[in-house]
Amino acid sequence: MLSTKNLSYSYNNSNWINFPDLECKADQRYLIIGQSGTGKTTFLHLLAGLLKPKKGSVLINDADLSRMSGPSLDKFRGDNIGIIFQQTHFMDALNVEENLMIAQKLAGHAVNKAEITQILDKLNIAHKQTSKTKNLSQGEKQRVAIARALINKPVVILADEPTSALDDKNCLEVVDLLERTADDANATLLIVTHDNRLMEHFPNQIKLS
Amino acid sequence: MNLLGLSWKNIMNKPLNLLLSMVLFGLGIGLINALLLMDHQMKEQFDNNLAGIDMVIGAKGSPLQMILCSMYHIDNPTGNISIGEAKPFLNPKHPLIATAVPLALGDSHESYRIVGTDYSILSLYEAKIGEGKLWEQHFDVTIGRVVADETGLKIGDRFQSSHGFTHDEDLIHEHEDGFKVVGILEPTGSVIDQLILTTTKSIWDVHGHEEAEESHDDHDHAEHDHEHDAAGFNLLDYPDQDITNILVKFRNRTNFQSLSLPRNINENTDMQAASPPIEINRLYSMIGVGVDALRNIAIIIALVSAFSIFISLFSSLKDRKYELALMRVMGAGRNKLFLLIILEGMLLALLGFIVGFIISHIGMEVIAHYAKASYRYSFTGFLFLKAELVILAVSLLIGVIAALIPAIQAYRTDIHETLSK
Repeated sequence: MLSTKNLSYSYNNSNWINFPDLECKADQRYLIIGQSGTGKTTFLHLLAGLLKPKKGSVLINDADLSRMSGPSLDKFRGDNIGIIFQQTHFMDALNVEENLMIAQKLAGHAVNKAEITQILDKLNIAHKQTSKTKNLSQGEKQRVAIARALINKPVVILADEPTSALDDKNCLEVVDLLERTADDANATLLIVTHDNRLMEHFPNQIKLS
Repeated sequence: MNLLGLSWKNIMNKPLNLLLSMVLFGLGIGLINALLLMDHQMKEQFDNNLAGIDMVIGAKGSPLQMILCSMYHIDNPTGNISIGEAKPFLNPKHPLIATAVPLALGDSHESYRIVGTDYSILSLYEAKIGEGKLWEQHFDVTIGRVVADETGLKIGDRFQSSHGFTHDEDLIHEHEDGFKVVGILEPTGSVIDQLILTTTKSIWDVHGHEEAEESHDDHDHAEHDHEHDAAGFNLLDYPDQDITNILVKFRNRTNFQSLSLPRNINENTDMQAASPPIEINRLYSMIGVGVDALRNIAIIIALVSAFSIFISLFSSLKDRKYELALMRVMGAGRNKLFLLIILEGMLLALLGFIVGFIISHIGMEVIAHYAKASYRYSFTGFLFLKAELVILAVSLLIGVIAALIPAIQAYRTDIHETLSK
């Protein structure tokens, strides 16, 4: 479960961005919407522990991220939070399988090739297991990024504008994929977006202004 | 896939950067290592051939040339000395001298020097007869192992000597049946392996014969009769004849009189005396200037290559900032990012070291080939020194230092800022 309380952040200690309190249960999906400049990415980074809140708290399964720092926060993030970014970035020197292996390793998990094959199979990308990520199409890259976010069975999946660069067909595909994989993992799914096409798919919407 | 594996994949992903760093670092390290190998082997060869000799006596001239000629057999004699003058030092009862080995030089066979001497030379180099026997008759020769291997001479073979130190058909002495091989020494690893040993009188006879022919002197062959039986031959009975050098071992090398003997000879006789360790140290210091210059060039190359490793890592950080931020997102701590870059620097340095190591040993083997052909010295590229481990450690340290600033930058990666762009 993910919750926030009195969360606010300021880059210059004068203009504060206040975020709504959240109470997100496991296996539920949320859409965080708002126009550019409303702090969507900042909010997502606060939820992921990539930014330390100036005020308020972020709790994931009762663990307060705002009180964590250093290696314990890094470990917690790797173990419990899967993040999908708008731009897909990978370790260029590694192939698809190795990118997932390093994700397992860095989270402190044992490398499990069977799990990697399984998740790539679910995402219909298993045939690209040994391909270099730079040789993948945009759609394939998006699937690999989702696989990487899910490989460590996170309790929270955060997606930052996952569909903004996609056409309608691919947009629907990615939404479907995210929903299915979050269901399979029994994880809370939060999508930060300004893509209106997603509105009808996610009834739980949190608007930032 | 661990950090080391990831580092390896990262550096392999930039082959041009890798190549540049490896070639530069390899050249620097290769040159340093080659100098190390050469220096070590040269000193080892020189030290082996010192053979406990405390003093060399010969004709006045360059003391270093005299040492190089009489002990290392890589230079020409400074001249000859008369036995009459050298007599006191050849006296077995001399209070300061334990061993005095006379050398009569001047001839060679296929560039291997023929040395007229007595059996005392064997004890200097701890040489033992391997096949056949020691030279007994005049014009008998016992040859070193290298001479046998390289010239193909066998026991019973005969050959004519050549005047001087280089092989030249025009300088061959035609002398009856020539020299006869009667024995081959066991290998010692010292200069005696490359010598052809015979009686002193054989050398005199070869030259006496030639001079007689040249002058068309009415030569009494009976007088010039080669006493082919060496038994009973005593050098001191020929005060008017010459030898080239005397290799001397003192009874007590720390004795004040022994220490001052070379000075006395230099000041009070027409001969010169030189101390091999002093002359060899002088040679080292002369060679050392060139070696130091080369070493400094190699160090500059290594530093430039360290800079290239730094540039390579530093520029790659710009391309990889998202990768590093992603690693943090996936659970890697700042320390792991720091370590990753340090490992990359060390791997680049290690690969450069391996290239340099291979270059230096192959280069040394090539030099060894030429050194053997020109100076009869057996260097090798297949010698591995403990000091090379020190070079490896220093190489890795250079890798660490070159990677330090990029690693600190990686450590400071701001995930939020990077991923927000």
